[in-house]
Amino acid sequence: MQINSPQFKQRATVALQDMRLQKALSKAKGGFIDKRLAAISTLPEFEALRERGKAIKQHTLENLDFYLERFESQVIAQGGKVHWASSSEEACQLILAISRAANAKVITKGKSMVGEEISLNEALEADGFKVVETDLGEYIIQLAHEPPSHIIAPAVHKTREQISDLFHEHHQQYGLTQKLDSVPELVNEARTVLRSQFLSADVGITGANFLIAETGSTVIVTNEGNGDLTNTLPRVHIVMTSIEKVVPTLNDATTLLRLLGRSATGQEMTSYTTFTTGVRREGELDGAQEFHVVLLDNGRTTMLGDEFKDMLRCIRCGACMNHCPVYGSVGGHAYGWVYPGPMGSVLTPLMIGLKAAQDLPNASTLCGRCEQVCPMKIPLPTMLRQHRINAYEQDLMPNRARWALKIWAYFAKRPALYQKLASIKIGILGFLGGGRGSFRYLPFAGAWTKNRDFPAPQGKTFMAQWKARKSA
Amino acid sequence: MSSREQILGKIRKSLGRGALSGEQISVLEARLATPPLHEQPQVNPDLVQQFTQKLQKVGASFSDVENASLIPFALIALLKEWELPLQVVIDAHLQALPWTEEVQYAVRAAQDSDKVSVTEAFAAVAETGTVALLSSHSPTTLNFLPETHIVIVHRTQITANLESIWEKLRQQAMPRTVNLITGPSRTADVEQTIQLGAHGPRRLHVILVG
Repeated sequence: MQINSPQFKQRATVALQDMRLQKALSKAKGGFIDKRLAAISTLPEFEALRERGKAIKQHTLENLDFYLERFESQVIAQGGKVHWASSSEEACQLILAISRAANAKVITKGKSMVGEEISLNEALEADGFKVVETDLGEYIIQLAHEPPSHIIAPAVHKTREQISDLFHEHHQQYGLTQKLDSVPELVNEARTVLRSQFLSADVGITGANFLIAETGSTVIVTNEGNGDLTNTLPRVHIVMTSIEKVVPTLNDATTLLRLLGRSATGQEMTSYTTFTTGVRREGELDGAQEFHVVLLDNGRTTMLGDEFKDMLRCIRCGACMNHCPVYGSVGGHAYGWVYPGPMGSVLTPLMIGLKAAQDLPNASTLCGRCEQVCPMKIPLPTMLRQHRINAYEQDLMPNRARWALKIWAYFAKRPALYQKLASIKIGILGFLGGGRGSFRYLPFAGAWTKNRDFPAPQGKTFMAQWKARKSA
Repeated sequence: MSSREQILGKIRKSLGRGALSGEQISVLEARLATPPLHEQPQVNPDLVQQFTQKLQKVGASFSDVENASLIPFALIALLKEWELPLQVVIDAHLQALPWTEEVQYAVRAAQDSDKVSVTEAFAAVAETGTVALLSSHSPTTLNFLPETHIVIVHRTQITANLESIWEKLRQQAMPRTVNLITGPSRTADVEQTIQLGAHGPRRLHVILVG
């Protein structure tokens, strides 16, 4: 996927003025938050499950080599193959080779964020395959030639009118010429169009929410049933996933499933939770005859040894972005790559480099809601701060910001001087702005005052008031 | 060096250790051999009641029959009520039921044109209103292609929590597919509005036996 993260500021500005996007975002936000809250408020065990989920992932990461090797041997024992890929390019090449060997023409895909991470569709299309996204949200954005803007609701930025226009434009070729308006009509038409693709596909590619070492199973969690038609109907099933998805046993996966659905969509269980283990057995009437699992690293083994290790616990529920005031204002596309919101602002710099993504860790108020709602208790704000520290240390900050921080640090380290200067500054600002009560413009703060007034200080500094009260 | 060796090597390096010792491995082997049972949500002791409540909550329907021999008759009544043709695709285990000539049944994998499928559950879970179906028992396409999916659940099959499926499954070989199904197919991808019947069944109905 094309990297647009360096343009975060411009993209965020455009997003804030995009009325259609703002409409779509405001519709989505409350829904996610309310549904999650309703689901966890009826489960007194939720906190205990969070702690357990965290412990399970920690245990797995500490023994990741063991569990991956066990997963691999179990897949092989069930007639499948495991392919290891250090990089995105290698993963794409592996999947191209499997698809060529299968003489595939049509490839159906279930939603896979790892697929987006490695730009799989572009690679397959460049090689002449017809790739059809089958998750309704992914299908909509494939028609629009856009990347996903949310990890579990890829088309959350699209309004019904936009979807109606897209279907009208692209479904004429199937003789479906009526312009549709209602949600049921739109969903039905997509069902009809995609059904024929499911039936004609030679290869089906899905992602995985979990991999199970105990049995060699891959797990997908869906609501539409598209993932199941993708992994059952074609002769060849490929699972595109990454190494941190493995857990030891079916019981461990069950604990994580209880957290995932509730945190993502407020569901106790999604409609379909599917465990796939190996190939079609002898005498069975359906199911794939080849089963491939591609395990991607792409920087994850490095994370395992640095200050971003906790991020490998992420189960991709999307709760952090649903509760993020910045994501809620600018949407997912502003972040400029595959993973948006707080989890994306941590992951993206690790995957595309801090230089290209240095705005993302700053696109946060560090309000802490993401960490509060994260089912795996990942300290997202701490990691965003760590990225900021790294950016400063690697000299990636613009000079102006760097000097401003240096000057501020000089005074901050000298409290007496700091308080003195602050009280002088407050006195002047209070005097100048006292009449109107606020400033329309302040030197050095033009960007801030462009969109709102700056209130004039009233009275003395906090420290001065504190001292006065203490001595009173 | 292959990518496999590279990845495993980098994992060990990042964890600051070499390969695990025999002793460490035997601890992990023991955990795999006896999977720990973690915290489970409380379930109403009346399992059937909780199961049917959860079914309704996720948009599935259910009905009862006293014994398995009544399934074909219950099925005919349902198809008439839904104004569907009296044609079904069933899994092979249901073939032994006393079918009447009124309903046509086929025993095979599902085809695109099939309207109704009937399959037998491996287990059912009160915790979430979930039914578990195995590819070793019934073709997986029966669970997804037809618009109406009817699942046969024996009352005695209903257990409290999801883990009981695994306990039961560990007594046999792991099948290619285990489908945990909780309600009909749905999507919220158009303006977060829930719409049933995205790609899979629009209707999920459970016939409780016993």
